[in-house]
Amino acid sequence: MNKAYDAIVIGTGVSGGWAAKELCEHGLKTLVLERGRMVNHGEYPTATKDSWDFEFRGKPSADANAKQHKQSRTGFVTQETTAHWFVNDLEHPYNETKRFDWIRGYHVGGRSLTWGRQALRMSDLDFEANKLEGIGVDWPIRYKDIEPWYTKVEQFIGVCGENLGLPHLPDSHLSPAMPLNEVEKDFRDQISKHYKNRYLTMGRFANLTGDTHHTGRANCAYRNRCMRGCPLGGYFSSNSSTLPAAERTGNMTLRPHSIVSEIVYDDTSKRATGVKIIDAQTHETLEFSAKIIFCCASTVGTTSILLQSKSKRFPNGLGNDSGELGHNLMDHHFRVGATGTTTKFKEVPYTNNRPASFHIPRFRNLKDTEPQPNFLRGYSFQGSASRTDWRRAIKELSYGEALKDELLKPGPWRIGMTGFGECLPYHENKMTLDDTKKDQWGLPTVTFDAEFKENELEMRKDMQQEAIKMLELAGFEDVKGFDTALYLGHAIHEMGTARMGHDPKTSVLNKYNQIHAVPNVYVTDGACMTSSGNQNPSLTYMALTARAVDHAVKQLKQNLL
Amino acid sequence: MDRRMALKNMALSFGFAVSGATIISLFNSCSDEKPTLTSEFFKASDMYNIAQLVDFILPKTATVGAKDLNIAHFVDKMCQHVLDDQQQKEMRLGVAEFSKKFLKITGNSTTEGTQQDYELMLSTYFNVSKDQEKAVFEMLDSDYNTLSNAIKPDYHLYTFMTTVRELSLLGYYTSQTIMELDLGA
Ligand SMILES: Cc1cc2nc3c(=O)[nH]c(=O)nc-3n(C[C@H](O)[C@H](O)[C@H](O)COP(=O)(O)OP(=O)(O)OC[C@H]3O[C@@H](n4cnc5c(N)ncnc54)[C@H](O)[C@@H]3O)c2cc1C
Ligand code: SF4
Repeated sequence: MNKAYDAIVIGTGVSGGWAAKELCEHGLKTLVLERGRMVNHGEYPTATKDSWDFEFRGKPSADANAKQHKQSRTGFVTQETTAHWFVNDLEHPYNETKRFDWIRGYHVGGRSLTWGRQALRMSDLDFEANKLEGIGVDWPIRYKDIEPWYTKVEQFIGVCGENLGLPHLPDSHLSPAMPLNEVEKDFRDQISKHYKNRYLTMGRFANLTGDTHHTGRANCAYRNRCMRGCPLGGYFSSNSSTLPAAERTGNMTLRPHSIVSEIVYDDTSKRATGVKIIDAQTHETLEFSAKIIFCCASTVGTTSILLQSKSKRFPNGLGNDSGELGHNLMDHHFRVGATGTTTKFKEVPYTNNRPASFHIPRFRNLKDTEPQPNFLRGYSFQGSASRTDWRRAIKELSYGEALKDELLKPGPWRIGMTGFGECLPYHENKMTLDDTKKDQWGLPTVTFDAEFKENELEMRKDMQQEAIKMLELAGFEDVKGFDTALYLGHAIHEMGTARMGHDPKTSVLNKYNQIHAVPNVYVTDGACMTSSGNQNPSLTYMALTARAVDHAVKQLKQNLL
Repeated sequence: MDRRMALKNMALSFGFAVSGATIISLFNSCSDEKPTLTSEFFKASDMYNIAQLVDFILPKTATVGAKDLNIAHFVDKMCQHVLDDQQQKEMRLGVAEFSKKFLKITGNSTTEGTQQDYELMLSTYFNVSKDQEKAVFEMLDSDYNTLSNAIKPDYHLYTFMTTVRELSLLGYYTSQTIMELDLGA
């Protein structure tokens, strides 16, 4: 059983799936360890259900809510349609010195099954910012280093959207964009009329459109049920895409129910030799060895494993010479923006099944704009316009025939958009392990101690104000700003706790995502991020993973690991 | 009510769990003047009042009404399984307050109430100006502990009536019958 492999991948989510595919396709015998249950592509229990098939029409029962009292803070992931993709908070507790919404699923595929599929490239505006502003540490890579890997990932996963030729939103390898509806097109035209450097475009989404062949997958059929899992494979998930590709090579051994508790370090060879796991079902401890290890257990999962991996050489956690492991925790801040309505466009035909939203790329603190007086960096907007349904009448006291018949018709158009803002890396924003509070497998639990600070708060003021201004200029009525839920984790883009950098004294990973002092351990999930940008980050994790595998394979060939 | 239709709808609103007992009570309800629906959360007497309310909120017209889709049952089920302890407590206080006001306004108890009595109750509390409507939702959104004692009965009454209304809309507009209507929209 305790067999030796060429490579071990920890985690099967967005980044682990990519590591598995790339390693296996390079011919490495790869053990892929996943702490949760098996989910084969197609095993999506709610995918074909209709609203009336759900006992509580989608709402979580009070019992279910109690079991997911932290996951339910999102307000949507614990609905009957998707609750099974998120952890039971009673079985998987964590501690909060300050509130942190740790939203996650333990099963094969991780959050690749439930992600929002928005796939945006970062640019040199992001990669150079820390250095130019003297914040945190400099990224050890620039856009040109990651560019070919973005392309490779986009080609394989399939991303639709529109290229704008903007330096801060680099053109991508895209299939045809999903359509904007008439209200969104009008908003786009109004924005172009009123602003020089603001654009509205269809978001870039990892949903298949166009005519490129993707093995085992079909084009998106516009059902807008992606979060439940797509039997067609219409959007990218590990389950529909990378894991089947890894499987096809015959080189992958996938072991679910395997909680990696520790990476084993050998001080003589100065290398990691393998991992220890606890079988989630039997509680049995096992050890597996390999030449290289890819940590893809997600930001917090990976950081926990590294912190747990203590040895004489690394008393504070594997690779933690800098003391930065667990620090610089970031997340985007969002749920700030505006909504509005319009009485126009009542006659245009309309469906609301498009699984995508529009995007307004960053327009603040660009190379050629006046610097903002109150904050560094910037934000982008994501939103959509749709016709309201019966829910428009919830906050009314109307009743009777008129109400009933009125609500059978689509209501007026409503538009809404939320900003996604960059968060700076702060050393004091951190996660630690609490050895006095263990989980059911005897592993220490995570404690979060992080908050947004002045730069984010000042940025939010601008985000709300600009959202209101744009909607008003475009002629929307009843425009209202909103600003809610300012907690880390809430945007589900947690990152930064094992950052990349040039200097082993101030960072955990080098420019190829290797732990500085343990080069056969690669960390390629969100833990590696040196700054957050404002872009949804998963595309960057995938590109960095593919790039790191390429590096590892070359190093192995030269016997350097 | 068409029994076969009712059965079909029953099965829908309950997913797979259609117990023998519920089916039988449903047959009974067709011959009864005042349906005695089995319930989980509300007392049988309260179920009568909810059935009346729901029927006025979403009456039968050219399209089916709430009664045809057994929405009262749906409301009861949601109150039992989806509302948390605090919300359930408020619903119980609310239904009691509703009965109290009902007697005061119509002179009848809720179980003796006629259709006109229910209509009167609804128009008294729901047929209000836009400003009053806004004030009602502001009250419901505010912190209960900051409300004066004079207002608390209104708070409970409106909690009950707006929850029944909202759950009725949910049950009705997300049902298969309504979702599959071809309205040419
Ligand atoms: C509702 C939602 C919407 C989102 N929208 C977007 C979006 O539009 N765009 C975007 O870029 N991102 C989005 N995200 C974020 C995105 O899902 C994450 O960035 C991404 O999944 C992270 O990939 P990962 O591989 O690091 O982690 P995950 O996908 O979370 O996978 C980690 C895996 O590791 C396993 N694991 C953890 N610990 C261990 C252990 N000790 N041993 C073994 N296995 C372990 C987990 O069970 C899991 O399967 C969204 C997320 C959610 C939930
Ligand atoms: S919208 Fe497209 S990708 Fe999403 S579930 Fe439907 S068909 Fe699949």
